[in-house]
Amino acid sequence: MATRIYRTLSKSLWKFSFYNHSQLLMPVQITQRLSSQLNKNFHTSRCLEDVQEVKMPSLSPTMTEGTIVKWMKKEGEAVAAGDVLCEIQTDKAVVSLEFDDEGILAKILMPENSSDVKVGTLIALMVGEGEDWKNVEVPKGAQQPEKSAEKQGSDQPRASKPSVSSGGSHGSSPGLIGPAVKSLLTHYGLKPSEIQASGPKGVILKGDVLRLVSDRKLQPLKHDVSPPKSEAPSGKTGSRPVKKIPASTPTDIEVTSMRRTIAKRLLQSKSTIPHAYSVANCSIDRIMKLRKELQSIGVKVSVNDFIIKVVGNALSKSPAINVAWEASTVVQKGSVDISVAVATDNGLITPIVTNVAERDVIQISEQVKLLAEKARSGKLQPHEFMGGSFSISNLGMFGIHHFSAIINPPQCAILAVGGGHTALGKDGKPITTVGFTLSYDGSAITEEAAAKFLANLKHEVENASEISLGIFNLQSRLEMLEMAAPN
Amino acid sequence: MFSSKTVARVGRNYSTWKIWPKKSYSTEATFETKPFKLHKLEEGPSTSVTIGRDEALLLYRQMQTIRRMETAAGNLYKEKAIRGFCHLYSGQEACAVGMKASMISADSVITAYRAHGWTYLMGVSPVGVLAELLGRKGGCARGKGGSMHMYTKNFYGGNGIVGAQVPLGAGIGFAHKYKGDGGINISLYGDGAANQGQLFEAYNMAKLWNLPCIFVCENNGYGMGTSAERASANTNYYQRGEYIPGIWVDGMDVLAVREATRFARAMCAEGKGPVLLETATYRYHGHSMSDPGTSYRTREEIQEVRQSRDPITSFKDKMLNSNLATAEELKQIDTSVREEIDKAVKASKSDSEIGLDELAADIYAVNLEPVIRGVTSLDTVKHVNIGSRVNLN
Repeated sequence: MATRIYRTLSKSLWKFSFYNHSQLLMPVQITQRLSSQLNKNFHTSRCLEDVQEVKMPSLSPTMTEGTIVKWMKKEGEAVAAGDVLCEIQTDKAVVSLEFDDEGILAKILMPENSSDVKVGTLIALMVGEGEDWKNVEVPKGAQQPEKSAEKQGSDQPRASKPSVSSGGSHGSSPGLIGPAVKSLLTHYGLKPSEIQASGPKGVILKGDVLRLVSDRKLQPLKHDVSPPKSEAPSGKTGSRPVKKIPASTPTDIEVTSMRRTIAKRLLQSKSTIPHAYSVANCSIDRIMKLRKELQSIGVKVSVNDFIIKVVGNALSKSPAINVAWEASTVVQKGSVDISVAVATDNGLITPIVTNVAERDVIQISEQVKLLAEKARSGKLQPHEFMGGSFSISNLGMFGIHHFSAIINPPQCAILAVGGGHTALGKDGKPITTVGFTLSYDGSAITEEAAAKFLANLKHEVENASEISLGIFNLQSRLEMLEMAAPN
Repeated sequence: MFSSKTVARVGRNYSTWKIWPKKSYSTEATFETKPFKLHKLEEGPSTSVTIGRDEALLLYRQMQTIRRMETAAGNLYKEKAIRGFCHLYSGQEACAVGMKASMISADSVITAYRAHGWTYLMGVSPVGVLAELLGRKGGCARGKGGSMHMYTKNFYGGNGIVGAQVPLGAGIGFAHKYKGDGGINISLYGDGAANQGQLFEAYNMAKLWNLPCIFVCENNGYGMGTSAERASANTNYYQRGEYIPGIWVDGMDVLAVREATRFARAMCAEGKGPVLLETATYRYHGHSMSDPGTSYRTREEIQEVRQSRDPITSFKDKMLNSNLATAEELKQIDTSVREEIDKAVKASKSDSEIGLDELAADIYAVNLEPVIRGVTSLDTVKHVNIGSRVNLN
């Protein structure tokens, strides 16, 4: 042992000799390092400094808590600088957490699907390469959600402290114990026999306990709120049958961070924006006919895609609707970017179909498919769902006539699309109509502008053509494409 | 192994350390760098570079300190302890460290907002940098500047306006020439800023007046999220000075950067006017903390660079292969750097912020008006001088 210490000493001095002129290491640091080196050689136990704590990071400016979706590394697996440790769902998207150092993932403290982990909470421990990762010490105060009560008992790092026992029955109780003293003893997990009594007839005074507490620098014990399960020795509680929850009792639905964000934004919208509504019924026979024609040449486009396109056309004719609040001004947007509501398991999210006026209906259809797929797998990038100048919510597939939607701020209008219904046309023949309900911000859009927009929309829907949908001469274009393609 | 007797003797008398038995270390080694690319130059820097053991260990330590400091800064940002802007230098360490190795004390540096590493190299302690990032009193600008605005002697700072530091750098070069202090100025900018008009104005005046300036384009491949190829009509940034001689250097090789800087510095010092340097490098993190850095390039690309071209790992391998140092020695440096930065993080976190009484402190080195105007012209604030004044001569 002695030679090892000397070696460390000599190495450090040797280092000092060539670093002192570079002013990188001051003599004070040398002594500190020296002592820490000596410590390392004396103690066989690992130094706590070697353990690196990984905490829940803030991965978006507004993130306060996150959900761990997936751990990409296992306990004991080596991590290189830049590797992804885990995927975390923030309030906006699923983001990968990179690790900037190398080492071994020693312990995962928050398993997959731990939801709403506060920023700053310890989620994992790392150790250096080649170190013993199995015996890593979990720092005090770290939450271990899944560990059972008995595990916590055996893992108690404070081995020197007496175990919890609520006074009284243990040991020889010296005389009278007042309620204040009893409470203190319970609070700090002390036994009456440990206290040196200074009161008359060996009575323990409150001051005696407080002195001991301050001498030993004791901390109050943390009491589990949950009822003790394993440690109860009495038969009464153990034999009680576990009640089964009948199906009729209410169940708590966990509120995800996404759901919370949606709730906050909806509440803000509905309570601060003066919503006004206008309704129009339009015949969609033209659209259905064009859709069939496209189908006949093998191009599948949904009714919703057609609606996005015609709404885009109507918006470029009514720029007064294509607006959004920016601070305290209403800004008319340069392009028509439509947010389309997509239902996911976590709730509604609105990816944006950009530049709708410039795209044809087939391009729109492809973009919608791509965005919906990304939305369902939680892979949408922020720019793909933030921004947008108008929203469409379509519940037509459920067969409802009309409904009204809540505006998605800072946008100023949203169109709710109902289902198709048969009605009597002007010439007495049956037609299929769809109800469009426009919710608009009365403070940004006038009733007149809204009415004109709906008139434009009605015209666009009922007079949809290959030209207005950007698919003019599609068949011959497709044929040319086929001819140009090899084989 | 060393005997205890020798240790005791050395412990008493430091002057005897020179006769210390040197095991089997090489005292210096020579390496071959990637070929330099030249513009308007007949002859370039030597591709064969020699480095002594002590200097090699110093460069290694400096690069490790910057890397570790930036990692700490990134973590502090994710803890929301650092707010606002934060641009990390990880991956580009060899550029700053290599250049610093060829500078003399009279030389000055001015850079953009990726300034933490340079601030440290120019003499601010890691606590001074980290406390500044955290907005604490112990920061090199008393916590008032933050990530982009750190200064010290001969370091004219991080600058927040893209490209604006280059004309300023030409001005500092002019000052060196005017005062005849023997120093030169190094102005750094990125491949994004390289397309700014003001750079070409600065080139013009620097060449016209033959100012001792090295203009360095740190080309990390991406100007924010736009790759160099998508942003520049000519991505050979070392040729972009037209009439200014240029050198392309592998910015992941600290020794190549050191050699190129030495060469360029000598040209400037001889009065031959400005030189343009392009250091081809890479940044591991996103442009800033709000950029995850993986939407315009793949994670595989980043990992590939980390594994095959990392400036620290590759320099480490060179040192080990040439016997300049042992693996244990380098490990010891790593550990001590880590301890130093951990301590610096703790010290910075426990430091306090300045009070409101410093609201109008240090606006001017010498304040000629008695008071500073407040929100309106009617309310005024008293000006005080608290921090140390640098570069005032």
